[in-house]
Amino acid sequence: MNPMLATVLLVLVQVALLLLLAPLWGGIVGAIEARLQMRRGRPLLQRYRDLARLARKETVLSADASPLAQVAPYVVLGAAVVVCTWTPVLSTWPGFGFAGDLVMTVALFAAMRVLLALLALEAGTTFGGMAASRHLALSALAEPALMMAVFTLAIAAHSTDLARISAAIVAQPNAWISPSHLLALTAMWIVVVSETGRVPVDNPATHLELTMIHEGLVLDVSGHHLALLEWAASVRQLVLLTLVANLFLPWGIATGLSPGALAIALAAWVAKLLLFAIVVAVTESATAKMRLFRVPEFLGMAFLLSLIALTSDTLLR
Amino acid sequence: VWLPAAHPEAPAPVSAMLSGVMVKAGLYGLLRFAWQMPGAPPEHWGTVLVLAGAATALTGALYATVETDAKRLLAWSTIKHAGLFALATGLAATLAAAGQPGIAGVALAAVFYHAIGHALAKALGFLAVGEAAHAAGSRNLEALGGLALRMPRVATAALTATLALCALPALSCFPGEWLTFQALILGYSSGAGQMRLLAPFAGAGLALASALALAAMVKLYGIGFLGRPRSEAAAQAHDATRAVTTTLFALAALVLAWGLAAPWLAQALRAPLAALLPGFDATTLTGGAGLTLVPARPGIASVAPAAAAALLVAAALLAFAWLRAVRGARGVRRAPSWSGGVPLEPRMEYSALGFTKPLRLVFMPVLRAERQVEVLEAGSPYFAKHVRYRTGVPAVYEQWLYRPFAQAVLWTSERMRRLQAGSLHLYLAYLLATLVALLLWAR
Repeated sequence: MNPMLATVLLVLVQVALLLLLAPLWGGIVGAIEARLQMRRGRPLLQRYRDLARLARKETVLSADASPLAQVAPYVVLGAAVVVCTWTPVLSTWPGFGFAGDLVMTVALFAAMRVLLALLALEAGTTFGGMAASRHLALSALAEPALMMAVFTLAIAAHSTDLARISAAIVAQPNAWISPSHLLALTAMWIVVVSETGRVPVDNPATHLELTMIHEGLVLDVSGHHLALLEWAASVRQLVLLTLVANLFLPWGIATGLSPGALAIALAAWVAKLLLFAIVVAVTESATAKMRLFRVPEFLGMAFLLSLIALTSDTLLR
Repeated sequence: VWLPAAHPEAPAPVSAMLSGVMVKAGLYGLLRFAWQMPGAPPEHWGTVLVLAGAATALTGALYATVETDAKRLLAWSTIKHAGLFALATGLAATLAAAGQPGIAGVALAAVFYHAIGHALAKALGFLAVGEAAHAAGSRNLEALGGLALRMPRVATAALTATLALCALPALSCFPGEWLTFQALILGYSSGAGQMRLLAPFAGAGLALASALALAAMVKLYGIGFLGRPRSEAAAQAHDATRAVTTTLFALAALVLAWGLAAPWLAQALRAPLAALLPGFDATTLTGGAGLTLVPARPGIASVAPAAAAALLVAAALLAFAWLRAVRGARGVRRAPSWSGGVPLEPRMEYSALGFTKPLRLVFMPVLRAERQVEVLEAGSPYFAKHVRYRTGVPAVYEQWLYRPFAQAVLWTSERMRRLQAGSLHLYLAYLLATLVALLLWAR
């Protein structure tokens, strides 16, 4: 097959997988949690129904909102989709890697965060300001930790291209056992927990003012705009998890485009995501949320761990 | 360090010039000094520059987050970016000294890209914020707010500058930062001596500084322009005249163009880069038929800001079309903000000071913020009626950097004053003593 056409097809499949499965992952975590807590829980597909219902509703905007509020939700979802086009999901085949790399991914996530925080400030209410303030404070620590953690891999692979990093780690099957890799993985996991708004950093199931961060950001948003933002948030979450799965633990990922390898890769990816869902659900059931001002220490630990990972890479080689 | 005190006092266009041009004049001096001084520069000065740059960037970003004066905030952000210049220059020098002209060229190209990208964005920022502050009668973010609805054109320009200064893709500060990170990674993998220890710390400092600058910029636009007006003057602000907004839009277009067209501009950097680093060809920074920016060596990484922006717009339009089809005629309705049933007042909004309070608490050991709570009128033992709360971020750098100097000068002059007793005889005696001393010395 023509390589150009193959790339486009692969990108379409990967983007479709990330976009369509994104709401499901949260549903699975919720279902496992409900089981652990002896509840029946919501149906697995409830999140899709919520999204579909929200998408049909009209949006009520604050009278104080600027034109930015009309555009930003679309841009936030657009940014999430763009990141998907170069995230390696099934294969280390580069996808649209020419257009973006690790730094670009982090920058686009930053763009989503900036727009969300600005949206929260649009209505001029207290909750919006509170959530934006907390969100920025926490991600100011989480973002550099994320960057450093993936840099550890980028340096080993001599590249910041996501697909190339993944390929380089597949090529050295024992590389993952090095201390720097494991430290970076730990740091990355802390960042993922924080960035996806999970216990112990944030509680996705609450509207209690003392605790909420992500829910507070979208409190003043409604209708189809809310559908866009919720979907974008779940896509971002799945992209981060896919980065953990395919950069730090890249077993099973295909290195080419043969159908057999791609099928195995799909199975491996789904299995890894299920594993993550179990880990997250057990953590959420077993631990309590941290006090807000303990969280910076938690994230600071991630930052330090990833810095140690980087320097230990130097010292040990 | 004097920047945050000096910039805001000047009128907006002058601040824009100061920040856009004067800092670059310093950069030019640094480059001339580094490369074209006769004789080899002292060893390790590149390392010193990298570390000083990272520290400067962090300091600037941190103080920007806790600042509540709009123009001082922008000035602190200039310090953050000046730190990035120093870092990239030092990186280039270290790498050039280690015999890696290819990677040094990447770092140097980052300096050039960022110098122009930052100058454009910062000029736009100062002009737009200055215009807004003029219309609303205050530079203090606590007295602004709600300007996005009242002066939409100026606010659009300010938003562009804000997003650009966050180094978001497709805007003017992104190419420079991206190339700096690439140079750090390439320098690290090249294995040149001290680079292996230097790069992780410089990269961590830079990443932290960028994330903090982001919070500061959201505060500038979110508190200053969005929400509800926090003062009478801000509520009555009007958009600037056509001439002013045309200028702002032209600058905003340049900011966008510099971000999108970065790969094509490598051609223009060819001559200056070759002059500083013989044997480095800037056109190797462009790949993929001129669409992508690559760090001088194929197969490392590439970004295409224009392609990413096009993809983003396409995805956003698709989402719009999808929603349009699903929701039919149900569109967007306007309604007053809901705040739990009580009338919403500007006092209920988050203030500029409160907005970054979490960050201020996290970085308390560094900032050493002061805080003072005073109960003015106690109604009952548990509920005070009026409380005065005072807080401030003292200028730590002034205490530790300037005060010793200032005190030394004061101390010396105190001693010197005894010499000037005001007595004519004594002065004549001084003259005589000087004369004798000179005669002895000349002999």
